[in-house]
Amino acid sequence: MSASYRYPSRRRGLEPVDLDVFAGDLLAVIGPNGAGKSTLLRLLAGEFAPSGGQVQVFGRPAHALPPSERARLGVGVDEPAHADELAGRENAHFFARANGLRAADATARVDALFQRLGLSGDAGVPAGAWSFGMRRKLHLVETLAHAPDLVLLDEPTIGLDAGSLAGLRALLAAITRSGAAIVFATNDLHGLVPIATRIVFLHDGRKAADASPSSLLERVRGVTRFDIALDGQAPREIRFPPGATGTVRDGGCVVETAAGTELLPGVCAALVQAGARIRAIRVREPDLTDVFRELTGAELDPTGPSDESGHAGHQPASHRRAREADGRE
Amino acid sequence: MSAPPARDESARPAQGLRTDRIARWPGSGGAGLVAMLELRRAVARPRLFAINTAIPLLLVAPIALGAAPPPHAAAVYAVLFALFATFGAAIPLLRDAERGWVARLARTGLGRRGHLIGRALAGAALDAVQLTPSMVLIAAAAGAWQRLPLLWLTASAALVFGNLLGIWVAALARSVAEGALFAAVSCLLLLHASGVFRTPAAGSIGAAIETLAPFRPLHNVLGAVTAHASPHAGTSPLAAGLAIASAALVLTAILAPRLAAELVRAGRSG
Repeated sequence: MSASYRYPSRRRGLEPVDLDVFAGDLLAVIGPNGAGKSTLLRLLAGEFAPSGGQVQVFGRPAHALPPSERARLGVGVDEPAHADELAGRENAHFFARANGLRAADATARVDALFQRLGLSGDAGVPAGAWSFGMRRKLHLVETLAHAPDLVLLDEPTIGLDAGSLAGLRALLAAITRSGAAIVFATNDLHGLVPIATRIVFLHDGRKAADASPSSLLERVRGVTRFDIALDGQAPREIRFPPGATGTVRDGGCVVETAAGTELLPGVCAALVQAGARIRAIRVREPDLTDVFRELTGAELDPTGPSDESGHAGHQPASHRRAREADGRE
Repeated sequence: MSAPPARDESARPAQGLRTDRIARWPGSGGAGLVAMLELRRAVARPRLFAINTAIPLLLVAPIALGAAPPPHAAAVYAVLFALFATFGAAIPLLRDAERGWVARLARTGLGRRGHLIGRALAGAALDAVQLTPSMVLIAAAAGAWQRLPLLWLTASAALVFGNLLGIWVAALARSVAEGALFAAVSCLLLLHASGVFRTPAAGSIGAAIETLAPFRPLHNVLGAVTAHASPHAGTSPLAAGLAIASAALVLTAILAPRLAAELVRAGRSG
């Protein structure tokens, strides 16, 4: 695809983005809320035509796929709506049939996926009586049962317990090994991102990176990071020692250095000298959140705690204001 | 010696567009599949099914068993049947659109035509079943048992039209409240055009419109049953009702992609 999208309300969905998805890709689209992840998935699903450029799926415009080609897609975006009065198995069977499976094939596939995701025991219970997590898993079964060639998932790990997450990882890896492509959007780096073969960073509707996880992490190799939680407000001015760069966040700061832990005492001294009261220090290797910050200057998860303090992370005020005004997902 | 491991069906390789799993429902676009789903959904809600059967009966009973003049009774029945079908199609469809169900179906391999027509036909079948006790009572009270089959078939054709009308108004609406308003207005206007509320002067434009109006065959048959008389001379009401329902089905099939897109949009704005 090479496309952009602007919503009818004029709010921006996606700036021009070039993206090719290949068979066997397990592609994670990562970005904070409002980055354009869901818009990208919806464009790929053909839910609307792009405002500019084109989105081609299976060699045709995505928004004009005939039903037989749409059956090659597995689209798991939005809230999972089910026929609540029917059993979970009936729901999944219907979607498998709606995507072209014969009845016997649909039964076999649905039963196998139910078993794999731990739903077999409740298969006969009406979907309306299922818990949130079970309904999410049912949505996954409905998305995957017909063995689609391109799978699109939006935040697929929400509501999944650890066991189900492990099962889903194994399942998606097996599906991509068989030649299908999977594109999923998330800002949870612990869910499926560890098994992704390719990562696209989206920020403010733009593509900030498109590479393998290892090559992205290469950018921050050798850097050590101290996540420091403070009691009370962080001081305004901190003179970190040479070789260490710090970012002050609400309730703490993040310091990066290429000198390993050698500069940790100096960093602590600088903080104490500035009047800070240190509550906790975590030393860790950099991860994709650091890569995202380096590439975009923004936090990947501006609301989630990346340190042990549990305080909200720092984000430039301009970004916050833009997001509040825009209200994008 | 151990048994070979069971085949992991869930990780079966995707094999692209395999011919053994497509080319199903030739020409119907999955209408049968959707219709079966809707019927199963209805059967799974026995309380709602019973209410939808009992309420028309409760409304029909005092009129059928009272001394209402046949033209008045026929008008009330026609309004009841038409609104039952139109509201019964529009409101649940809008609710399904608002909760994302319609959008989910639009993302599957189902054709838009299959989805909407399957839904309308299932709705009409359910309406016909739920209105059967009312129709039996109407025919019995009028002593017109022999006209019951004609009434049932003509009413069923009108119910198909009413369900399709419900889909059209749902596609125009942006909320359930709007859908109810549009359903009421369109239904009452069409009933008016069908001569339910007045008898147009012979040779007038109203009379010309009435011959084409969709609920006229239903009203005609109801008038004949309640008055224990023959239907008006001219085209058979059943043939006219079937022709109108068929034309509406064709129109819906043509407009289905647009209607489905509007319903998905209604779901987003709802």
